[in-house]
Amino acid sequence: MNNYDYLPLSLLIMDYLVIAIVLGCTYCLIALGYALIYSCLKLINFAHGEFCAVGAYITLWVVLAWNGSWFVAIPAGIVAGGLIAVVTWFVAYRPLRQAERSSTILAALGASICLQQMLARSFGPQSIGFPESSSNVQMQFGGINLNVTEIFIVICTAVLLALIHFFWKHTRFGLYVRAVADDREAAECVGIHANKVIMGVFLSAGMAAGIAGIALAASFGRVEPTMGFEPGLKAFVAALAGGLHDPRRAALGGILLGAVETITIAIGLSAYRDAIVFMLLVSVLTVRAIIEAHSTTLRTQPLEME
Amino acid sequence: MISTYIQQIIIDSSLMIILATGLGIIYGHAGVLSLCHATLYGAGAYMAALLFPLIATDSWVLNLSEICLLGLLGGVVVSLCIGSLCLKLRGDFVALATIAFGELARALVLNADFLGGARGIRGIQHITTPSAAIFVAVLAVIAARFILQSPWGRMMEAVRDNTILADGLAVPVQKARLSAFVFGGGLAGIAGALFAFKQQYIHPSSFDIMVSITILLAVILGGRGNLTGYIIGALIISIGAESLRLLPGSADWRAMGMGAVLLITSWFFTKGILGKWPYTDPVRRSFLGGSSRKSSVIEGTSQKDRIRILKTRNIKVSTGQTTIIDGISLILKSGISIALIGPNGSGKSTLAKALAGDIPSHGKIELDDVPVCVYPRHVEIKRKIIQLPQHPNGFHRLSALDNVRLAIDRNFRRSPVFSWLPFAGRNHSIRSERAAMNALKQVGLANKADHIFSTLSYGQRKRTLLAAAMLADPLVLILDEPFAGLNTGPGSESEIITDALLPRLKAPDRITIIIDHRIELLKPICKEVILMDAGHIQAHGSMEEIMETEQFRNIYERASTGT
Amino acid sequence: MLKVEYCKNRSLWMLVILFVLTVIAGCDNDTGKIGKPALKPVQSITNASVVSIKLGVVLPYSGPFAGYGEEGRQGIKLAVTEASEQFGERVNIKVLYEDSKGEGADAVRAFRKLADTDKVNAVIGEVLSSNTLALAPVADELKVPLVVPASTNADITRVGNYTVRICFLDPEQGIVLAKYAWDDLKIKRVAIMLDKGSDYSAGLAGAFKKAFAQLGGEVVGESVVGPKDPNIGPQLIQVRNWSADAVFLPLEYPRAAQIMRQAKNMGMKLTFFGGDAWSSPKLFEMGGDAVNGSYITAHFAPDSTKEAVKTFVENFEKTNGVKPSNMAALSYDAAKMIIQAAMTKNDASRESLRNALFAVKDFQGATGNITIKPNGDATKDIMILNIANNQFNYVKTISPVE
Repeated sequence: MNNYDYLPLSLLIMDYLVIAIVLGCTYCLIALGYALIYSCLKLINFAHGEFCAVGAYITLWVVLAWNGSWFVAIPAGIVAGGLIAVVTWFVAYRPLRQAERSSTILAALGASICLQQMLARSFGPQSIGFPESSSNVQMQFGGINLNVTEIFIVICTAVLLALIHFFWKHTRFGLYVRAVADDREAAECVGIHANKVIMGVFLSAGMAAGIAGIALAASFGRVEPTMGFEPGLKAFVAALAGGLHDPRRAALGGILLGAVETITIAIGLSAYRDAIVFMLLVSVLTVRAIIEAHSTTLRTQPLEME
Repeated sequence: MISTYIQQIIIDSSLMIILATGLGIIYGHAGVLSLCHATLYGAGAYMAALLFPLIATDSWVLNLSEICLLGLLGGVVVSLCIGSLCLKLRGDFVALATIAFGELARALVLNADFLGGARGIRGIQHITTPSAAIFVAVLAVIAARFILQSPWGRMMEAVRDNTILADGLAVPVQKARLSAFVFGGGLAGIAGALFAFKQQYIHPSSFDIMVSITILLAVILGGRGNLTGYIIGALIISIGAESLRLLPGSADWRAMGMGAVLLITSWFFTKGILGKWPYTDPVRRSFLGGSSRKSSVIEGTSQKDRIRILKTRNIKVSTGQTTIIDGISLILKSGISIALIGPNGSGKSTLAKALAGDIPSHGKIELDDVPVCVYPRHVEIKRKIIQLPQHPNGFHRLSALDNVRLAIDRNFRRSPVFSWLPFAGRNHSIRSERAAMNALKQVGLANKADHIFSTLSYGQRKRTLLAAAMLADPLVLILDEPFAGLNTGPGSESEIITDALLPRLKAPDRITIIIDHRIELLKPICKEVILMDAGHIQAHGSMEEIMETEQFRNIYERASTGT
Repeated sequence: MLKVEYCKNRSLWMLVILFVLTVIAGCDNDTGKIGKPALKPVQSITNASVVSIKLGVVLPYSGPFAGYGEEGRQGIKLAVTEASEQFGERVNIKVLYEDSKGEGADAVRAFRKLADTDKVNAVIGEVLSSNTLALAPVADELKVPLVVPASTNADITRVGNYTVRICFLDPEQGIVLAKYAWDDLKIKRVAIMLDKGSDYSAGLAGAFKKAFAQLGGEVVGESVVGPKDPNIGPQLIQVRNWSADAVFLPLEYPRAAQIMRQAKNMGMKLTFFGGDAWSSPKLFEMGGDAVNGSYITAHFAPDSTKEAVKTFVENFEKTNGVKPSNMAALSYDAAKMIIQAAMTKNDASRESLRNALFAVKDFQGATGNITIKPNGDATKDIMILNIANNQFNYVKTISPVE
């Protein structure tokens, strides 16, 4: 009854490519945030997935409870992601100034659980449908269906990547961030307001997470309090593989992750997909470690490397 | 008469204690952030559940022992596999690798029907009782205590605190980490077996990453590096979380409560509930008899007066862009002390590190005409050439005594497999403690033996690390600016150091190289001088000769007049 | 002196521990190794006219399956209200809800608390088969009747003698779906998108595959979906390549909705069908228009003309403002069945309830006509519903027996 002739291979590959790019962009946005926060505070922000979830929930809330249009709801969601990030930093991480590594993990996990639960208390623990009206509009490019949401994500990611690349090396703020990331005390001695810089970092990371959260909600078709956890974990893994010190490399890790996942599913190994993704990343790291161990040149600090 | 509900809670808490102790050894004591502990838990459960029917007996006690052994086997095998692949990576990457392997294990089990797949394994016998669980938990904690008291336990902690220094002092880093990982894995496996035979049904979803994170929380809550802390953390997580159920309508708030507890603990008990540093675990310090016998723990010198020769040929160290050392060739005979001097930036510290095998370099090094790999170097060779860096970066969470005794502990030859036995390495521990106390006396720090390293002053830290290096007694010892930052003059710290160095400087089969800027300090102790500038050796000869040379005067006059 | 000090500390310590252990072992377990004799539950017959029933409920109220828990709670509450009205003074019902958090170990603890501490007469639980499988042996151990509203795994009733299930089983669902596809819709080639990590999904897929093959149909391929895939696109592309007549989605409604919606967005015109885990009003909320045109097996048809069902739907909508879902209807039936069993025998003690439950015949429930077989399963005919105009519509009833 529903019969398709086999599509030409090129279109098939294009289809997969589109999916890989969209998925990769989503992970990339989250990985960016992880790397930014880690480089400044040496903190693995387990609550990052929850920033995504908050962005998605607020967007949904504006649309459903306030009957707002998408043009209001989406920016609201993005800003909400940024704000919740700043609030989390202020409440959960700032008091930890002198702490050692392990209690930062405690705080991050605690923040993650609290945020999840707050979402569950406010909006209910079950999933809520994410309405379709925004993604209903489709466009066709030579046989491939693209979705407004997907286009939005890709454009956002591209813009953000360009911004990050520019700001990391060529602006004052980027310099401040790199300084604080390298040695916070030294930066403060020189007169940089470390707290303000970190606040800015959290704001940007949170906003990027907000965009990713909206994208996730649109593709899941629903929001639920735990929606951020798994994508957050995968993006964390991607950021680690790319390099947590440099957000640009972490972002690339995210895109790579999207590609690897899509390829794994495309060749029929979707049952092992998570395992393969992780193992590939581990292999990358192991190979890098081995090369490094046997190199005969002295390695300089990663931040200076181009 | 206790209700089965309470019995269940007792069993669950005991299992959590075993799990937390295991992960505590891995993370709290050895510093390896392992997020696959639940996988090891599951490995024990599955191994026991699958193989037990083959060896089931009628005796309950025998059955219990069998499942514990099977669980142990499962945990040990899987942790060996995962550990030998993961632990080569450093720091955060180990965490990633453990997540990856956990995911892989889960995918394998879900897709393998002979392992139960998504259906799980059901129909398992009921063997675990509350008293059995408590008994095994107590045994596990006792075994952990013994492990931590043994030389391997101390080596694990050193590796956690300062991997680079541990490597530099020729502690077998990989082996220490792997043994910690396998111990923890074994304990997790036992807990898994007990779990399977209580729940009577196991399914991969019981062993996912959230469980690993929960166990990690227990470890962190209690405080890293503190065995009692792990137990308390485990009790808080299991009993505390469950007791919240008793509050009416609390199902909704339980998770929130946990999150709040974590946040509050992280703010106010920054090192965990029991981890208030400085904190020395008193049981690890055994009573010391007042013998003043001098230590003579120099290893493997059958021919004490043999002359040893260190040859280097064309050592080059470069980062991709600059060459720091360009072609250094030396022949050094033992029985002398050499001063390595030169202006800043000449490459002295780098040469020290290159000789000791701490940084990658080109060239050839031969020790007694036996070629030695430049980098990375096998731990046995590393023992022979040690360099002490300029800034005293020791094992900050260990006491001064532990810092020093590591030099002897690292020689502990017995396998870590038996470290859980009551008297594992006890003789060795007693010996190392005595030797370390003596070494500390020689540098004048006997009264600071129990103080945590991070509480010592700069000079005291340098002296502690020097004591450790002296005790390690390598063939070639390179001291990078041992007097920097210390007072000079009679009775000062510099003099204490010089006095402590004297025995070594006189030894005929040892080479000592001292890097410093202050010639007046080096003159009385060093016979030979090597003068370096800009990555090359400018001159090499006796102290008197060098001080006459053109280059020496140029360099030192430049320094004093600032040209 | 050094050696003596060292030894003294250690052996003293070990002695203390051994002593403590002996004390604990002595206090515990007077019946040997396994469990304890069940403590007496609440007295069920105080005087001949009032039956006191204490009902325990173990369902997920937090975590990803909290939705099912909520729906269950609504169904049970309605049943209790109705029973109080029906029997008035003669009955005294108390319900205790415990959160299983969607985890086996937590579910077991919740069950033990309800059974031993709160001394309930019967327990209604759980949703996920893997959690129910953990509860069944405990029900047997503590001799508390367990009524399972919604777990479809066949193994559940094979454990012990205290578990009664009121929903149909996965093998039966698979047969009915295959029959409907083959006989009524003339579908010959089916692709399956399943979650291999879910017992329900894998089990149902397997059952369907077997039944469909027996009828002569062909399963052209199986694509695996992860628990939290943001993008099902790659799998859909795979499925499209197989050019099947229809796609079977043995998944719960959030993922089913996501898949159907994405398929529509990608411009694929595929027919989907699924099992009982689809039926929830939220399916439309999450899937929008894309879900129309598919069909499912269900425990419950909201537009049925049967008396019992109609009353239930009306009352439920009046009380809760939404139409009831499968889970709500099943939980309602579970509670109602327990209460009826207690009232007919005038005895709510555990043993009596257990026997009464196993002897249930022709119970008119919201989910159909229930008779409990000796092994604890229910004989039920399975309904097919199709999804059109944003609602579930009854199509026909098929018996899983050949």
